[in-house]
Amino acid sequence: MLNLASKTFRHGIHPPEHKSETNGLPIRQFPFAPLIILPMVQHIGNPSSMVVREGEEVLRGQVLAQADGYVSVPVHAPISGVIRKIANVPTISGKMATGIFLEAFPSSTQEVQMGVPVELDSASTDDILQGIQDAGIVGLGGAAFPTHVKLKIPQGKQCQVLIINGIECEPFLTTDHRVMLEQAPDIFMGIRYLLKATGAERVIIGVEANKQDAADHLKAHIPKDLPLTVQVVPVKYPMGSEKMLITALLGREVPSGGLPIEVGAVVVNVATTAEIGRLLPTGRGIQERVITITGPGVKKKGNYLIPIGTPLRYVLDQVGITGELSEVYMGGPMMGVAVSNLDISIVKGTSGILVFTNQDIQRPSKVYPCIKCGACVDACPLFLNPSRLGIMAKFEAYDQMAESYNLMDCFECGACSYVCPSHIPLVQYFRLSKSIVRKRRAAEQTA
Amino acid sequence: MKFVKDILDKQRPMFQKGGRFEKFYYLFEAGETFMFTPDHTTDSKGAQIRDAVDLKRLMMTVVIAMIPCLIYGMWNVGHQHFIATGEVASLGQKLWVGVYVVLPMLLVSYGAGGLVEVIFGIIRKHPINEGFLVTGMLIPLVLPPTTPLWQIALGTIFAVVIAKEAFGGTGMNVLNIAMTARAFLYFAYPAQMSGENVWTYLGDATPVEGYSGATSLAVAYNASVEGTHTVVAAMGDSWYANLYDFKNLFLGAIPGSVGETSVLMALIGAAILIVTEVGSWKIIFSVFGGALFMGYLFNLFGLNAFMEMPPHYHLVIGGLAFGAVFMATDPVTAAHTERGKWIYGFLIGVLTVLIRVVNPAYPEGIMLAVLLMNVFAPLIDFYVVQANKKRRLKRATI
Repeated sequence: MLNLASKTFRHGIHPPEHKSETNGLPIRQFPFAPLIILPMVQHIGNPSSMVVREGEEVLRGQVLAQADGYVSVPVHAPISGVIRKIANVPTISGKMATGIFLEAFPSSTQEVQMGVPVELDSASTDDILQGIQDAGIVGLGGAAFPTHVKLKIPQGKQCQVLIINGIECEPFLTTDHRVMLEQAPDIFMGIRYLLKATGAERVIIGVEANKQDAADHLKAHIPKDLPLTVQVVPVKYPMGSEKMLITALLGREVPSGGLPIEVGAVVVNVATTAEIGRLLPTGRGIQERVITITGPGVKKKGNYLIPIGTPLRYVLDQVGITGELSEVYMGGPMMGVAVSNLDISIVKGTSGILVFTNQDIQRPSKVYPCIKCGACVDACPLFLNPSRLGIMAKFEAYDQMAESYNLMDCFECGACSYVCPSHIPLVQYFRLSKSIVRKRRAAEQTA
Repeated sequence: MKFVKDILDKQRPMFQKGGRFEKFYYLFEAGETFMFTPDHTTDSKGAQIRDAVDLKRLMMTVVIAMIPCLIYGMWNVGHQHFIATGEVASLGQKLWVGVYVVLPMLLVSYGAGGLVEVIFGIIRKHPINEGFLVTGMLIPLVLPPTTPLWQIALGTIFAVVIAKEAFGGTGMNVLNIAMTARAFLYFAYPAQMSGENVWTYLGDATPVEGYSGATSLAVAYNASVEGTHTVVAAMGDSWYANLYDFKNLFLGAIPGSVGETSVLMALIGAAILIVTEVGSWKIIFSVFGGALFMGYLFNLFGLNAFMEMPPHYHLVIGGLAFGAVFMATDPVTAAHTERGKWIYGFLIGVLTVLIRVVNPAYPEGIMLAVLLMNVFAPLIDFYVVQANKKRRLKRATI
């Protein structure tokens, strides 16, 4: 236990977990929706550029859109069917994006079209990175940042440790938990590819203590030739953040504004790793992902393998809603987004769907003045001063927030909003402030 | 409750935008949220769940923590009255006198402060909030039971207007509001706030022969002026048997302001605040530590009887414990950084003893020390953060 205590980071919070509802339920295949809607913006970076046209018939696994530049990934067809329409579709951010309406062939075998496999033994580092990009893989933990960009080690830097992130600190979500229990061979295969791509000397799989069974399962099946350890860390939010996990496992602190590689580490989500291990040997693209559907408003809770592009409304119809629908979150309750429109579809970054009905939602949200109690300061894992930043956001001192108070280090975990006794929407302020600062900086650069 | 809710719902349109009483919306809202929680929802992005603690609960915790001091204070007001007049009285009689004296003080402080809050809420269009529940209770607890009610009203209004609303309302004040009220009255009406007659017997009762209303601080101070015997001896030599022995000082059956005499009750309050994590234990402990440190330092010099007083006596006289638990821990005016809290509390303790011993004109050390450190708290925070930056930069470059 003494050893366990040292493997953590300072500050952070302990929200109720709510994982027991779904962590015992195996991953199940979700039915194919008759109409799939694929937005071209499913990742951070340039939107994918379309290579198909309306009326074209496509096969499952076929590339529908190419990567547009380096920070971008292609989109593959999750089903065989015909492209009915290309039009603007709503996305979770509230903005519209170009999307493909793909209607399934009712009688298709839905056989997967294979691409060019990336052979582990003969492939070079660049081949693997190219293969990961071609497979359309992005961070499946929720951020949806193209994985090949993250794995590219900059000149003069060296990756010592590869960390596989199996923390899943968001309440309610259990996808990574199930992936670790059910897809261990894929994870190990993915690690082989990642080791070769990054040149790391050793690998650590970080697992939170509430998933002890998954940690034990992985430990029992570690292949002899892999320099791999499974490390159990205490339960604490936001342990799943890259920077926190590095601090907890390695005792190193990523510098402000820097990337994990500056302390010799690369962090990859466990589901992403499994996807790499499954897709690269066959040359396929990513077509589906595991999503936890839970919350008090859901009749059939569970972990489902859902084709990307499945409309949210179809998903909710299939699992069944009890009572009157009030709020639906995509992602977990801490960092996820409450959807404003049920016509959006599942994207690569969707890790969970949480449904609450009118009876479950009763939140007093009168905002009181800040009394400087310091609860947010004690919660912030990055040692920022959210109370100060919150007041400055109110007075729109965005530039000063960024320059003097390290606003841009904030990764929006929401611990400050969670603890605030005055119910000040701190993290919401910071998201807004950050986007304004980013816009201003971009404007300065072009000016 | 349904019936009250129905009435409120019916009235609502009149107070909303365009209604007849639009100006008084925040008055209506304060009344409604005091009884019910409204059902507005949050923005769509970011943390969707929240801890169950909210501001109202924090404030109520502080009020609950003060109740032992209040009840003991009521009893003590009666107790002091009856030993001054030499009558024998039962527990009930003492409490009755206490309630009779303290309740009007409470009502006046709440009434006057509440009125100012409401007026400002309407003029400046900000919601009225529960912070005043704490301040309104603190003010009578730090005043002598003989304070005229109009002075309480005046002090409260002064403190709320000048120390709070002028700075921007709840959360923006630099000075502790209750301490400001007391300091204002102390300097404006010294005759009613100090001297020997204000702390104890009430009305026009005649005190017994040999009676002295000197507080423990005054006894200690006089001993150092006379220089004939030590403070402990002077306290042991009080007019009423064992009035100032250490045990009695700790329990608080001594003359003083309504709520501050009992160290034991303040410690019970401290326990409530620390267990619920509402008050900072760092500040509470460091105030005691600072006072002890300064007490020992004066012992080394030992120039007069007050300096020679055993340091632990400093902790039980002059309301230091009450100030440490309820005044210094006010989160708005205290230091915010962790190391800053230690420094802030320690300096309050040091200054309290320093003011008591060195500056005989103002023996009320804790009041002045808290106000002084309130002003310095932002500066302490600034230098703590600067030091942090320097240390981390050094670590990063090596």
